[in-house]
Amino acid sequence: MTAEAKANILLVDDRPESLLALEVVLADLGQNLVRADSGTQALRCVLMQDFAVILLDVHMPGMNGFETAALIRERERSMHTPIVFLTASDQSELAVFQGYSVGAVDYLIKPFAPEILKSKVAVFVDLFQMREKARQQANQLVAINQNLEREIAERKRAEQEIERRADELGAVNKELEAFSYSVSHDLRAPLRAMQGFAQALNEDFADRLGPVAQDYTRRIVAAACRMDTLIQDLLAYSRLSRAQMLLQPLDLRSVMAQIRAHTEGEFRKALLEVAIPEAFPHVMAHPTTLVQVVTNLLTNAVKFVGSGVRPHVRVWAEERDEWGRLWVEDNGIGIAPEHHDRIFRVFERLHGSEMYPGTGIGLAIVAKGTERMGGRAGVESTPGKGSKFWIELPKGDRPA
Amino acid sequence: MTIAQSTVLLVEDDPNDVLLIQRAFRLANFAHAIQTVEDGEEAVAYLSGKPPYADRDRYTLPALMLLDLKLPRKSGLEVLHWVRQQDGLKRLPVVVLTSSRETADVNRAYDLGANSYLVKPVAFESLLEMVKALNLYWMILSERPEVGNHEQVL
Repeated sequence: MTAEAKANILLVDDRPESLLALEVVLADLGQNLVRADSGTQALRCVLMQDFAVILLDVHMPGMNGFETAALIRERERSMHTPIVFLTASDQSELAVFQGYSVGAVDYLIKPFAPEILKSKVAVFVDLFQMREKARQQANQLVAINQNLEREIAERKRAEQEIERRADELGAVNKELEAFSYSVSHDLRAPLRAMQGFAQALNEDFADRLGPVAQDYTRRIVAAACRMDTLIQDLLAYSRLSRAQMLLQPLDLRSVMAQIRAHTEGEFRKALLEVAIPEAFPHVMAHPTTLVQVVTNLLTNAVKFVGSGVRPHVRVWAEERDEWGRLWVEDNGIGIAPEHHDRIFRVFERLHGSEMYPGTGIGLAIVAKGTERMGGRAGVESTPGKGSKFWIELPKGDRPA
Repeated sequence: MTIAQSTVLLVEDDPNDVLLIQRAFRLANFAHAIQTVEDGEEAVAYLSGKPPYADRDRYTLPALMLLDLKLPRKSGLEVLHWVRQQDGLKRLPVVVLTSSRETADVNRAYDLGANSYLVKPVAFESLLEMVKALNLYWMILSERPEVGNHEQVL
């Protein structure tokens, strides 16, 4: 319904020529004119429609104008509809008009001037339309309110759902923690026994074991150690997936220095040859996780070289818009393009463990770790020409 | 304290680990006595001198306790908490020696007053290195606090 909707005007007169005269005068107003030729018909009309104003002839056979008005007033719907009585000049009738409550009732004495009739009716039409407008706005307000209430209710439901999910997640996380606790404790205890006693056999009873038996016990020791590394890496990976990551601005340079300080053996030797550039961007990261990620990147770079090739690793960083990107380039065996995605998944290995021992979790830790810190990881590589691995993390402000 | 033989109390429920740790101490030429109890309640009984550990000449108060966390009956963390509440024992150096690397366990142990936290290595070589380091650091380099010179209220 638009605000320009036509108002209904009810014309009540028993004589068709009078109705026609009214219609002619009021046609200019452009409203909807409804005819009634008796009081009864007028009553029927007000039952079905709302009117801006009712023009009511006083002298009608059967129910006269006053009686009709009284019945109109009794009905809830038309109780406040303005009525304009049309009458010939008659002093006795004037008194009756004044008996009606003021405001909603008016009268016009015949013969009336068309202009006066038109302007009077126009006032009532205006009033009606303003009331209509107010009513529509009130309705709109009610609708908006209802929408708002619905939205609030929906949001509340969504919040409750989120809360429920968070509770569930928390419970699952707790279970996972309990699980990895028992994995780390219970699975490793028998391993320690296997490894420890096989070695004890080898050391304490060497004179009674032949070289073959010694080889067997050494194999038990090595297998137990490999399984331990596997469990440790898996635990590290699962910890990465559920640990809370509070990010802080970190200097990639100091991260590199930290990794150097904490490594030993062959890896350390190879690392010491890696030149750390002066200019390193600050990135937003979680300290332990970043160390873990970069360590795995470097281990990977040092490890996969062709036999007899001395590993040479180059490390540099660059800023790319909002990102700080760390590059690790090696002179290793390289990776065929079809494997570039696979290598970042858990337990994916491209080589037998005889050739390159490992658990297949290192690069999965790189990918999961950067992802958990809001970054990403990737590789550019050609078989036989080495690989360039990169990780990207959001740039951070210089730490205070 | 005299320079006489001291005691290390090993609280460990896994008999394999007990054997391996004892072997590591032996190979490290450890000069001190090692007493072993296999659960948390035993540890509390030993430290408070309750039977069967009432004989303090035989079951001397340790200079160092090596404490596993996952123990039957009373957990290592509970033992640690109890030790830190006891007047005569609160200074006893306690080194947690366990399998768990979970941050929550590490933090909790230090919160409760552990002096160090070590994770049992699988490789025996590493265990041997660890025992040597323990001996050097806690039995030789570190000054020892007075332990057990208060009458215990139990």
